[in-house]
Amino acid sequence: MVTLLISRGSFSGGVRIAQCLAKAPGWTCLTREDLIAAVNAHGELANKVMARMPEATANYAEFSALRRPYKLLMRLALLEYMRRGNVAYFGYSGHLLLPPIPHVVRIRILAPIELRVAQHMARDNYSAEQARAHIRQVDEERSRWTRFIYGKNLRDPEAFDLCINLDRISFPEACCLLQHVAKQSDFQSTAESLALVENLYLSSKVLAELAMDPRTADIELGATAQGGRVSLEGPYLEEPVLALLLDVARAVSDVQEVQYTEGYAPAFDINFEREEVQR
Amino acid sequence: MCVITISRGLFSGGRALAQAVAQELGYRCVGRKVILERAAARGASHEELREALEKPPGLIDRLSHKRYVFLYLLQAALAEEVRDGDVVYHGLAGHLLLRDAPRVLRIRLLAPMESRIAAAQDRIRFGREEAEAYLKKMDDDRRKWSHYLYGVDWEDPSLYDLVVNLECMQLDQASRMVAALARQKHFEFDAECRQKMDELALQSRVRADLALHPATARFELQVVADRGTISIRGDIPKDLRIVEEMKVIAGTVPGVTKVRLGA
Repeated sequence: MVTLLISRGSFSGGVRIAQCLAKAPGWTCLTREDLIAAVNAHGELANKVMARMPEATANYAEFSALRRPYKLLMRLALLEYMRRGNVAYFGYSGHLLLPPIPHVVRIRILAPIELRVAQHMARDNYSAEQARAHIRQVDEERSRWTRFIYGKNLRDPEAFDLCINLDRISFPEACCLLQHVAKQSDFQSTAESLALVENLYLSSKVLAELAMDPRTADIELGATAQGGRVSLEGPYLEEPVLALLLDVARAVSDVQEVQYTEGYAPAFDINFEREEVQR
Repeated sequence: MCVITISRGLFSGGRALAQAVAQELGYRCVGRKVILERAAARGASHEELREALEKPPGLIDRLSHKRYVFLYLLQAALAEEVRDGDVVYHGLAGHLLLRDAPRVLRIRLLAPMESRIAAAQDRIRFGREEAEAYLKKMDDDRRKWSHYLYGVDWEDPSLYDLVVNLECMQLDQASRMVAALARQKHFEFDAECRQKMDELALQSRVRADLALHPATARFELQVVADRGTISIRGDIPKDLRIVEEMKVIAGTVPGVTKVRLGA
C-alpha cells in the first residue's frame, strides 16, 4: 500500500492528475471535501472552523479550541482511508496532517500562473484578469489558513518529499512519474509502516474522543499507541479529572490499556511526532 | 538521451545522486572541475573562474562586467560539454547557466541540515558548530550569488522541474525517480536541442569576447545566435569605428558566419 499526499494550488491540474491516477485499479482518490465531510459528521465542526476563520485573531481562544479537534478529526478521516488501501489525497495541506510514515509520499505540484489562468478561464468563462485575480486571492486565503491552522508555510519546499513543476512537465508525464513512485518497492508499506499507521490511528481516535468530550476538551494532551496500549501525556490533573480522562480513553474501541504521565506533548505537532517516530 | 542538472547545497549528496543517476541511465557524470578546465582554456585563470561561480559579487564586481565575462565563459564551456546529451552535471548553477537551453531536466536536491553537518564534519574535520556556521555561510553566499547575477531566489522550487527532499527518502530512491523522469519523451535531447545548445555556446563565447575587449567592454549587449548568424542588440554605440570593432570581434569567434547589429 502507498499513500500520496498531493498538495497543489487551485487550477494547477490536480483534478486531471487525480483522474489519471484513479485509472489504476485499487486506488482511492480523495479530495479535501471527503475529509471535511467526515469532520462535519461531528457537529458540523469543519464548517464552524471555516466560519470562525475571519475573526480568528480577535477570538483566538475560541478559534484555538476548535482548531485542535478539527486537525485530529481530519487526520483520523485520512487514516481511515489509508488503512483500506492505496490513497491519493488531493488537498493543499494534507502533507501537514501526518508525521513521516515510510509509505506516505508528500508531493507538491507547482504550475505556472499562465497555465492556471488558462485552466480557470476554460472552466469558468472568466477573463484572464478575473482568473488571475481569483487565483491570487485563493492562494492567499490558503496560505493564511495553513498558517493559522498548522502554523506552517504552505509553500515551503522542505515540507515535501517531491515538488513537480508543470512548467515543462506535462500532465501525463507528471501522472506517469507519480505512478512510478507508487509502484516503486521502496515506497510500499511494510509490516512496520502499517503498524505505524495503526498506532497513529488508535492514538488519534483517543485524542479526538477526548477533544470532542466537553469534560476533557480543554486539556492539552499528546498520545502514542503501541498495539492496544495508549500512553497519554499532559499536565498535572486532579484525581477525579484523571479518572474521568482515563475512563473516556479506555472506552475507545480497540484500546486495551491506558497510561498517563505528566509532561509536555502537544496534541498535533508533526515535528514533535517526527522525533517520536524516528526514536 | 537527456541533459540533467543537479542543484543542491554543499554536502547534500548532489555528487552521489548524480553518480547514481548516471549509472542508472548509462550517462556521463560531469562536475565543476571539467567545466572550469574547459573555460580556463580560453584564457581565464582557474581561480577567477572558481570565484565567479562560488562567491557573490562584491560592490566593485557589480559595477563592472568582469564577473559576467567569467559566467559567459563558463556557460559556453558547459553548453559545449553537454551538447551531445546523455550527461548529468552536478556542478554549481547548471540550471542557471543552461536556463536558455531547451529540455534540460533541472533537479534540485534538498537534504536535512543535520545530515549536511554530519557530512561536513566527516569530510573536512570541522567541529559541529564550525560545520553548521560554514554551511550557513555557503548557503547565504549562493543565495546572494543567484540574486545578484540572475535575479532569482536559489531556493524557489519553480526554477526546477523536480525538487527531491532526502529527509525521508534514500538516495537510491531519489536516483530511480530522477531516472524515470529523464526517460520521459519530453526530456529527449534530439538534434534540434543539440543545435540550440551549440547556439547557446556560440553566443556565450561572442558575449565573453565582447566583454573582454577594451573597446566594447562597457556596452550592455544582448547576443543571440541563430546557427552561425550572430545578432547583437542593446546598447549599440553611435561611433561607427566601435561598431566595426564589434563586428570584427564577433566575426572572429570560431563558428560565426555572419554578424548583424541592431534589431
